[in-house]
This record gives sequence, structure tokens and C-alpha cells, in this order.
Amino acid sequence: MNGYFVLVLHSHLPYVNHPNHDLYLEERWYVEAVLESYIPLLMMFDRLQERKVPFKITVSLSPTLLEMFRNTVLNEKLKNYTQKLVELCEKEQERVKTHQEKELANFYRERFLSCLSYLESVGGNLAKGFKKHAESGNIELITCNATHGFLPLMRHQPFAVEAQIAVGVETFAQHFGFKPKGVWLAECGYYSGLDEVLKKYGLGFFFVDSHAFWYADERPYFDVYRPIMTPSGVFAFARDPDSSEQVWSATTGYPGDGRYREFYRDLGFDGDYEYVRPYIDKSGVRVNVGIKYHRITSKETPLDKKCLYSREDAMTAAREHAIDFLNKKLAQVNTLIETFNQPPVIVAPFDTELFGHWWFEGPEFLENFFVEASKQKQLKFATPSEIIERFDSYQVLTPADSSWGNGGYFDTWLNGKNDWIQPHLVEIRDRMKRLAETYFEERDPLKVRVLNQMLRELLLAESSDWPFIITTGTSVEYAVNRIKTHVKRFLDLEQQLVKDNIDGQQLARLEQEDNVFASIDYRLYAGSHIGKEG
Amino acid sequence: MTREELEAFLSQNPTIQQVKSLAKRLGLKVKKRMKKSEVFKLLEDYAKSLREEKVDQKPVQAQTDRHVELPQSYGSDRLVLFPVNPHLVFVYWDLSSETYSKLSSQKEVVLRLYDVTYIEFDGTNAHRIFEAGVHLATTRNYYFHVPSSNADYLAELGFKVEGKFFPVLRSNVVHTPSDTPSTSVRQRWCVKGKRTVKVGEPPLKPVERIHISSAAGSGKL
Repeated sequence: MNGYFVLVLHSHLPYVNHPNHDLYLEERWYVEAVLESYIPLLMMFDRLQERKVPFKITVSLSPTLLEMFRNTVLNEKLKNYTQKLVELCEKEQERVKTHQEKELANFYRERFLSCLSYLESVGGNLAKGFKKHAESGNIELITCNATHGFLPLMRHQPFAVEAQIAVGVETFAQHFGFKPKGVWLAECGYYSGLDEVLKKYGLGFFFVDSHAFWYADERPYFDVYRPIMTPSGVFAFARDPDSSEQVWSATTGYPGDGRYREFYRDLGFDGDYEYVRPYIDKSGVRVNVGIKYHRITSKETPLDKKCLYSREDAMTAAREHAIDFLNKKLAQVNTLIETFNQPPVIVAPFDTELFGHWWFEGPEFLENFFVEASKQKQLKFATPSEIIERFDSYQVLTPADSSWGNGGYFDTWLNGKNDWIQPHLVEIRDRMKRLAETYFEERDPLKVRVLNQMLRELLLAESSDWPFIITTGTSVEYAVNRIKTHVKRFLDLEQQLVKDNIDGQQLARLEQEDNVFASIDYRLYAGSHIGKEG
Repeated sequence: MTREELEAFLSQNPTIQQVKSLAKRLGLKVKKRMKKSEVFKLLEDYAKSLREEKVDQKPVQAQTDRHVELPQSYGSDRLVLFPVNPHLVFVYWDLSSETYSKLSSQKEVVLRLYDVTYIEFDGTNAHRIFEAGVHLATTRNYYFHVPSSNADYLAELGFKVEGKFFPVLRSNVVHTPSDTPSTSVRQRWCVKGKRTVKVGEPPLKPVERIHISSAAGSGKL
């Protein structure tokens, strides 16, 4: 045994729920992630377990994602849409000309059908699928802060940070029946002192980007290859830059191989308009439907010249890349053990949606990686909790304030495009705190409901996804609207509360639409009382 | 991408980088030296080649209440400072009408940023002071480029009379992230089972506490 490998998959989507509409454009984020990443990965875990291939993966599931897993209305839409896709595949089998395309149409049909039966096997709630593997010890499930709020920008309002952490821990425990041992901080956003809050809520470890160790208050003796302990006794694991580069890099990463599926050629855009119309967005806007017939071919090949996808060739590529990645990891641990005279810990965190959604063959790449790795003994897989048990001494450090975003700090979530958000968030947090204290002893059930809903609106407005989207310029209108909507709803409810003029119907509507964290208690925002349960 | 979408994109006067990257994504032949107008032409021609499609409407925004207007100000008299990266901080203010009129009656409204690293600030002892003139009617926030990373800053909004600064609002203190390795040579180690933290070289024995049965290939431990 020369070294450990800790694979971390961070799974998160912002809460998108429009129960009074047909499948909403942004609800497709959920549909795509489920059909392309979550279910294929879960089915891959099942296969590994059946074949008795040893594997260890750390999976963080954000509280908003867990709440979507449990949302029956949303999952009904998911199911109906998947059934429509099966129907589309059947039409496709008739429509397409070549044998290769016919095979692919059939491949997709079977794939969607297996997604449907998987969903049924877990009673529509994917958390069950993850829990099963957590119970067998192959997966360590960890939580994330409530709505994936970017914590370094809340530092001056510590009660806001605590609420994000407290709700994250509580929601996880409600879904799984046990408390999380660790946390994925949204965007790896860390600031010195945050570890004390984690400690308070029973979280034993978290993850940071590499430079959080490199620029820490003292130099990391083992570089990023051994977790450190913060002064409050919480462990931090740092990202290995090499692993990310090998897998993720836009230029040299595996997903760019010409044999892999081309993301940007989709039947939803390629198909005859009237033909695909029933399967795209209700408004008539073309969207991806997930049926794609082409491979990347080469980066230089224009989209309309891409060659047809061969599943067999793509699977060969996934196997080759898995072997290559394993060899690189072996070479890496063998070098590092020479350097340190101790087994290194390689931490490789990724967004879960990379595997399957962005890189279609990603789940099979991971599967092959574990299969190949089972044939050797130098590299051993472990979960963070296991790693912490393995060593007898840890360096004590304070990691540097950082994130894994562009530039390594906070620019993505605070810049000229999205800085207008801050005054609103700062204000409503302060108001929430004052009201939580004023109404701490409130007994009127209607007022209690208003206060709880206000906290839900506040948390939903805090999602790091909105400023991120505004920065990257993808679905700006939706993101801007979501922030404004939640802030406005908060302010309206506040008015109704203080004027004692509560609109029960509106409240019920908001409770149905923004229906996260059912058992939330606004009192956790009251400064002097906060953390009683911690 | 539909014809309408493409035309809408072009009508927004996108930058050359945006047009180029879109053209590339659409698989059009973009040469390095091409001017913006040339790439534009390329995209326009491509747009014309696309069939016109009837799109009923933009996706409905019914649930997210449409055209939500948020308050321009909360009248909270707040000056809030945020670190952005090791060399950039952001500050915004939200004023009550009293403070606004008090400040706007002054000729010289000034925003100050103080480097207060390792000191208890008394209003005069900052390591450095950065100053920016503020036009209250049009400005509500400001970004300061700061030379020192890993440093503490605080801001004040006020006015100047005959060169003397009078603060009206003071912000929170922020710490800019570090962007260099520590110069400290100290090392602290926590050894399991011991209550104290050891300062100095890493304790090399024993490191691996438990024996791993599959450690056959190693021999190095």
C-alpha cells in the first residue's frame, strides 16, 4: 500500500420547483441531472457491488437536491417526461435511416426505460439509492450548507452562516436518519473561523482547494497530500491539482476524446421543428432532449460535420482512460511516498454532474477505474472518515480563505454584474434576525408559519447559483428573477406580519411553491438562542 | 439555435469574443485574424440559412413573479465591506434620508479605506489610507484595489471640510485572503491520544496506526 485515493462527488442543484406549471424550462436541470448523472451513477454503484469490486466514494448531496428528490410533484413530471422520451425513441427507430442510428435509438430507449425502473425501485426518491450504498459502507454521504450559499460573503453576519450550516445538517439527518460526519462547503468557500461553526454542529471534516493549504498560516509539511487539523479540531482535505487537471482540463482532459459523445448535437435542436415540438419546452423554445447521435470526432470538426457515435468505441475509450488514470495515480503515489516517506492521500473532488451529464461516459470511466484498481494493491480507496482514523498525527493549520471558483477566491460571486444582490441579502438577514428575536415566544400558528416561510425565502435567495449564473451569463433572466422574487416575498410577508394582516392564501401558495425544509424553525435565526440544538 | 435567437444575439451588440465563440460553437470557420464585422457577416449568413420557426412566446415566467421591483434603498445607514480577492475589496452603502441629506449638503463626499492590520484602529493610526471622491447621487458602491493581501481593512464614508475628514458611517472590518506561502517556519502537530499539540518536526513514528492487511506491495513502511 503506497497511498490512498479519496474520490469526492459533489451533487447539487438549486431548488427549482414550479408545481403549478408543466415541466418548467429550468426544471429540466433536474431532469437532465437525474437521467444522465444520478441514476447512471447509482446503477454503476449497483453493478460494482454485484461484482464485489471494492469501491469507496464520498458523495455530498446538497439539501436543496435532497428536497427535490423528495418532491413528488417534480418527480411525477420527471417520470412523465421520461416516458415521453421513450415514445420519442420509438418514433426515432422508425425515422432514422442507418443501422448505426437505429441501434442508438434503441440504446436510448432502453436507457430511459431502465431509468424509469430504477426510479420505481427506489419509490421515486433517489436518496434511497444513495443510502443503500452508504449502509454497505462503499459510500460516505456528507451534507452541504442549506441552499449552497457562498459562506465567505456572509462572514460579517455569522448568524446567517450558522443558519446555512444548521439547516444543512438537520435536513440531511431528516432524509437519512443519521447525522453527517462531514460537509461540502458550497464552492469550497472557506474563511478562517468557519471551522468553529462546523465543529459546533458536529461536522468533523470539510474540503478546500489546494491553495488553501499552500497559503495557510503555516506551511503544510505534506503539501495537499494529508488532511490537516484546524485549531478547533476539524479536519480539512485539500484538492489534488493533478487529478482534476487530468480529468477535467478543457484541452487535455479525457472528456475531449473524439470517440466520446458530442454534447452540443442534440435531437432537440437538430430535429424537424414540428416533429420534436411535443418534446421540447412548452413555449416552443428548443432544448436538449438527451438523444444525441454524434461523437466529438475532433475538436476542430464543425458541429454539422460530426461523425456518428459508436457506443462500443466510446466504451473502449472509457476503459483506456480509466487504465491511464490509474497508472497516473500509481505513479503519483509512488513518487509521493518517496518524497514523504509516508503514504500520501490523494483527494479528487468533482461535480457529480460532470459524470454523465457533461461527460456522457463518465460513469463508465469511474466503473472501469474501480475494476482496474481492484487488480492492484498499491493504491487504496478510502472515505474521509476512514482516512482520519488511519494516521496518528496531523499538522495543525488554519487554511487560507479561498474557494475553488475562477481565480480561487470570491470574484465569481461578487463582481460588477451581481454586486446589486448584496444590499438586499444583508438587509433581509438583519430583519430576519430582529424578527426571530422579537417573535421568539410567538404561539399564533399563522404567524409562526409566516416567520418560517420568511426564513425559507431568505435561504432560497442565498443560493450561490444565482450570482454564479449571472456571472457566467447562461440563464441570467431566471436567476435575477429568482433572487428578486424571494426577496420580494420575504418583504411582503414581513409587512403582513408586522401589520397583523396576514394573507393566508398567499402564504399557502408560497408554502407550496417554495416548499423546502418543511420543519424549519425561524427561531434558529435568533442570535442569543441560536445553536441550542447544535 | 434558432434563427430568431441568433438574430436577437446579434442585435445585442456582442463583443468580438462572444461572436467568435458562438460562431465556433456553431461549427463555422472562424480565422484568428477575422475582424468583428467579418464574423458578424458569417453569423448573419448562417442565420439566413436557418428556417424561420414559429415560437409562440418566451418561456413563461409565471411562477417567479414577473417584473418584481425591489426597494432602491432600505434607509438602513449601513456601510458594508467585503473581501473579493487578495487585492480587491468591495464596499456598498445604504443611507437613511437624514444621512443622505447631511452628506449631500457637503461639497466633498469621501469614501476612505484604512489598512488596519494588527492594530486597534482609533481613527488616526491606519497603516495606509485610500481615498475616493463619491458622487452620492450616482454611486452606491465602490471597489478598492489594495496592495496587501492577508491584511485587515475597514472603510468610512464621510466628508471633507478644508482638508479635514469627518466620518459619518464606519464599516465592518474585513480580511483579504492570502496569496503567498507563509513565512513562518513553525510547525504544530497533533498526536492522537495526547492532549497537547507538539511544536516542531513531524513525529515520524508511529505514523500508520493500523496495519493494513493488503499492504503487500509496499515494504516502505
